[in-house]
Amino acid sequence: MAIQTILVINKSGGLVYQRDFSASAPRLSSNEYLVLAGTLQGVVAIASQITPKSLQITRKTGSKSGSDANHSSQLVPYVGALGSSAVPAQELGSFMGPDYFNEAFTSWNTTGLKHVTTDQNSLFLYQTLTGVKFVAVSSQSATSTMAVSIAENLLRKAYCLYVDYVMKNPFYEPEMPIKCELFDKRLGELVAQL
Amino acid sequence: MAIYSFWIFDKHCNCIFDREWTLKSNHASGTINSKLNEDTAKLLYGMVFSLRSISQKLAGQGPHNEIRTIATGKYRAHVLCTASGLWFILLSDLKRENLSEVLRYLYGEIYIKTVVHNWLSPIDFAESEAEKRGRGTRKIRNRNFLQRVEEFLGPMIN
Amino acid sequence: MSHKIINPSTSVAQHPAPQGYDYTIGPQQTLPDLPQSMGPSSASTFASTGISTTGPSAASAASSTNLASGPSVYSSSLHPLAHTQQVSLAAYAFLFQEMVAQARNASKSVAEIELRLHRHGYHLGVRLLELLNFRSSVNASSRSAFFKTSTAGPSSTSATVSSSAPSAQLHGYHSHGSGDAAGATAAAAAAAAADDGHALAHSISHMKRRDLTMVEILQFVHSTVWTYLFGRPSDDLVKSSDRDNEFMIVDHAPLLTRFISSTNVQCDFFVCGVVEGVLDSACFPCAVTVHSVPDDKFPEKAVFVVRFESAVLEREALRA
Repeated sequence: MAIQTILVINKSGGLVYQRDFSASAPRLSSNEYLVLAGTLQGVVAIASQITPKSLQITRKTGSKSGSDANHSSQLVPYVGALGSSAVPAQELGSFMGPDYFNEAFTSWNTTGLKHVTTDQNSLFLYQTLTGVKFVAVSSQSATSTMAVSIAENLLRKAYCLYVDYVMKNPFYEPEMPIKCELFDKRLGELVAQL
Repeated sequence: MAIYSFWIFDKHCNCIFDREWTLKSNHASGTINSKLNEDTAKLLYGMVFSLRSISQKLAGQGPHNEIRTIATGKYRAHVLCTASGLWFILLSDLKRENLSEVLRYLYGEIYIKTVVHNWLSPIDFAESEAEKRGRGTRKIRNRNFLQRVEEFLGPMIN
Repeated sequence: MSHKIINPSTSVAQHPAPQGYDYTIGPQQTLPDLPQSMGPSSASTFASTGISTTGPSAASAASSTNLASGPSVYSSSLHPLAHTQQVSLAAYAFLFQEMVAQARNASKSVAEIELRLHRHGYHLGVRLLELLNFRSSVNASSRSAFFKTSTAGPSSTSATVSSSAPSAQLHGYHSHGSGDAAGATAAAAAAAAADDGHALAHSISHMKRRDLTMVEILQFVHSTVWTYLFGRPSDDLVKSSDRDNEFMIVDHAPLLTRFISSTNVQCDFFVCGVVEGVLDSACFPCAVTVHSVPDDKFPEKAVFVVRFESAVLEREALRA
């Protein structure tokens, strides 16, 4: 799975970070990326509005077993160290080795948009509890659940990096475009491991 | 339940057919061409439209880049866009990863044979200018079409 | 809320600590929070030995073995109540971030931000010299002897504390404290802690000799101060080949600025302040600056340059 682009969208739908990782990445102007971010923000909200009625019915009348099944489907399995070698422990910032996290995690994005496939690309979206969205565009049209969980793991690690190298940087203004060398560097290393 | 609903949109952004199942135990449950679904149809259209524009931008100068599936935490939407501007959309659960064959069958075998080949059925459901741009209300009411859709999708809903 | 929040600190217990400095945990906490320890007079030391004879010995034995297993005197707190020696690196980073942000808001120029950070660090350095010199005077034997006599350590149960409290009152050694303190256990613990401070001071037989030469005091900074602050000695200590009064302390990956992408502001000036504070209060007036010297292996390498004043060199020449 080749990651072309990673975007970070803040909670109000503004694009705060965009980076291409491969030469085949789409060439979009910065304005187009801003529009893209705003559109995605809207689509995430719409997608949760059109949840089918039958799902709403089963959730309302839902017995315990129903809600349990729902819950387990939101659990994203941990996919071991992505790629060949794990990052050396001292590169993990404030996270404990051998990896940023080592257990399955619950997706906070329960009803919103998660994953889009087209003829050429797939687009993965990871939403944090605070509403920050991490978007990855890959050059393969992958639908398998494995690909989705790999992408979610990758984006969650990107979130870990964001927490360390962006939020702990005193020179970063919240909600503003991210210009942090260390974040760039670590994210590059993370994607290169794939 | 594997399939939740089935929608067709025409080139004028009108929803010309919708079928939603509400109970997985009952094939006949739910609504056909319901007025209550109008808002949902608009939202669904808007979502696919936005994502299509994104995907076309991402493709750049290359060949067409049509949406195939859209997944959320709860359901997955499968999309087939035809050359004539029709959209066939199926909403299924997350276990169904690819329903493009089903959509192709719905288009090629059912829609073509019961609507297009039917001399009495209109091809363009917007009859006047006022019914274009998403304001049309006409639906496919062709009995043959309805029956074949039920026969084909009914067994799949659970 | 059923969502699980990423909390790196929770998984600490599952992993055995690797060798060297543990980045998840950050620097080890060594600040003892002495509660009103200035109270009792020297007579109370006798009372504290009285407690040790009356109090149960099982708990104290367990606590002393725990504490004796530590690697060195520097790496753990001398205070028996400071049982958690670890500070989350994230908390440390956020605190530092806030400090830099405050300095930044109050300043008009880059130099002013650095000056403010430097000043913050200076005050820390002045205090650090006292504390660390005192600690290095405590050798292992006096320390273990001291911890054997202390009873109300963190591991002792509330039963032992409450049983030792009346006995302490019998000895009449803290008539000033127990009257107004409502919680009997809290009062007993605090009183015992106050005693320990004195007991420890008395158990020191030889104070550490003062560092008199430039090399000695720099060694002290390089190893002791660095270990206290960052959990490891600094990576190198070099004498400048050009100037006699210039020394360089090299740190390959400064802990404080781990998460700060290099900008035109050097946040390591805080550490400069600490070093300068230590050296100044040890009567080695100097100026300390930091330079970021990235190389292939260590992209965040920083070099702290210490320039002693000429008076220091003259003094050293006289001694020699």
